Amino acid sequence: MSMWEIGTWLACIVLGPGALAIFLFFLRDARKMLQGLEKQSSDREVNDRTEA
Amino acid sequence: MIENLNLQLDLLDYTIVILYLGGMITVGLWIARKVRDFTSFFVAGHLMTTPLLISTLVSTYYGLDVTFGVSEVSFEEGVMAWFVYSRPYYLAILVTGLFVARRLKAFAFLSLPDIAEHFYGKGTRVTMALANFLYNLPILSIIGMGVLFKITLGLSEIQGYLLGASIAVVYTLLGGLWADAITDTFQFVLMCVTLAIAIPFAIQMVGGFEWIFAQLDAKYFASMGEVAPGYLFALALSAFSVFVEPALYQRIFAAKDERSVRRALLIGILLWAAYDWGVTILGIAAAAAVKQNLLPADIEGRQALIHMVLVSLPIGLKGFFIAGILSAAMSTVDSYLLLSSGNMTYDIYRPLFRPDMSDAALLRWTRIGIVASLIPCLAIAVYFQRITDAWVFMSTVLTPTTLVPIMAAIFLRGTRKRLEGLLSSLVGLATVLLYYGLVTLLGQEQKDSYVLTVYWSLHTLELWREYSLFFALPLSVAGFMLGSALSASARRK
Repeated sequence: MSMWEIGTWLACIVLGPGALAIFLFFLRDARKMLQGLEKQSSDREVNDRTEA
Repeated sequence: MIENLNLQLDLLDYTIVILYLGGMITVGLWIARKVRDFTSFFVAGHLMTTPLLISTLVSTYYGLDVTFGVSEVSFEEGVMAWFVYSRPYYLAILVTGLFVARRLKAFAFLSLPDIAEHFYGKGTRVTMALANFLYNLPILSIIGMGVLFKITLGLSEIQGYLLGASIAVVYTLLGGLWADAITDTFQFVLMCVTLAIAIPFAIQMVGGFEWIFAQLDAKYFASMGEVAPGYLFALALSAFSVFVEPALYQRIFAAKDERSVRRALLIGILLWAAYDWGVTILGIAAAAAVKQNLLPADIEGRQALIHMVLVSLPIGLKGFFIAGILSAAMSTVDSYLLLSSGNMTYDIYRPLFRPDMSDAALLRWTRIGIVASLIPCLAIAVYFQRITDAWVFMSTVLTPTTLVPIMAAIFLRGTRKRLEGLLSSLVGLATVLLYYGLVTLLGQEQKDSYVLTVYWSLHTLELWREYSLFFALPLSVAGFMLGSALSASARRK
């Protein structure tokens, strides 16, 4: 098997299973990030009301 | 086979594409309810973690220009597309991940012109914001979507521009960077996985690697190809744009911490390299398919990849691949429209005309700016006969205007002076405009570009339009040094 072939199959592994693995890690983090977003938004609303 | 070239999609393929487009709008609508302030809208509240950063970085930075551009070069020249065109960028990204990101995370910036104002004042901020705005208009991806919809859905190119751009605008308008990044994540998976699936089908169709090696010239497997040293150097210099790439900066600012950015960029390099290699091999497979009469001999290089894949994939997977290609385009269009809108509203309009603008008003104006940015994009896409003319200019205008002042601000010790940044960015911008104008007006058309031949004594010098950085970067450095000297002299007086 030539280096070009090895490189091609490695690229397929990185793009296929590799990208899917990153997506799974994203799903793991998603809830925490969205909670952070909601907290920031509610803090901002409280601040706006206080300033008003 | 050529007569029966079947690029038409089946009902199943159409269903997959429609589900994908509907899904992106749904995500945008859902996330929009959670985004209520400008920082959340523009830099995702500085909350992004590594996996989200990887997805949004990889999918944003790689659009149809890379997908069709790299495969076009490999279709015509071979593996040099990866070694010559793509490799310098990985090095630049590595340097950014290891050195630049850490320095940037030490400040609470939201945009690249923010850095300019912090170190050099409003004049440099506005000059950089203008150059950023021109660079950020995602014209090539919008044109790519038009071509894609024309080939696959039979729409006119203008209908294709409007359909693809409108969907990207809707979810970006609603949810800003959050919607952009979360849709980017799905788009990232689609563009990578569909490419990984397409490669074995394409290679099998042309009879495997043995047939590819046997049928193509040896030049297809020469890593450095037959590129002139001057052109090689120009390509390597073009990778400097990574150091001031607005989408990259926006994501560095959006990251939870410096470690998340560093990890994302290092893992991203692996994915970018794999993606580039994937499209390089598909371009080479298309060249082998032409030799075997599986594809027409007069096929355009830019369309080689899409023809190769659509001919080799079965029904159903074609739909997924179109969704993957659309993902590559839309993830670029949405991110850069958001950035160009930020340039108009946050970087120029607010500091110059309404410094007291409230957060809610800024958010409203940025949303209006997203639609407004789309108008010049569509106008250029529709009216320009030769899009490369506009694109070469836009892609080269950023680096000379921003690189020197930004790198000096980040890395040089001591206090920066207003004149250093202002002169450096103005001289860089003026040189690019002048060089581009002169070579386009006085030069000869050659290989989709322009060349101005200068005769000097017994020598001739060929000035390609892509060589603007050779002049603009040194002059930008000179402008910076002049600004430094003038500031020192004024202080002494």
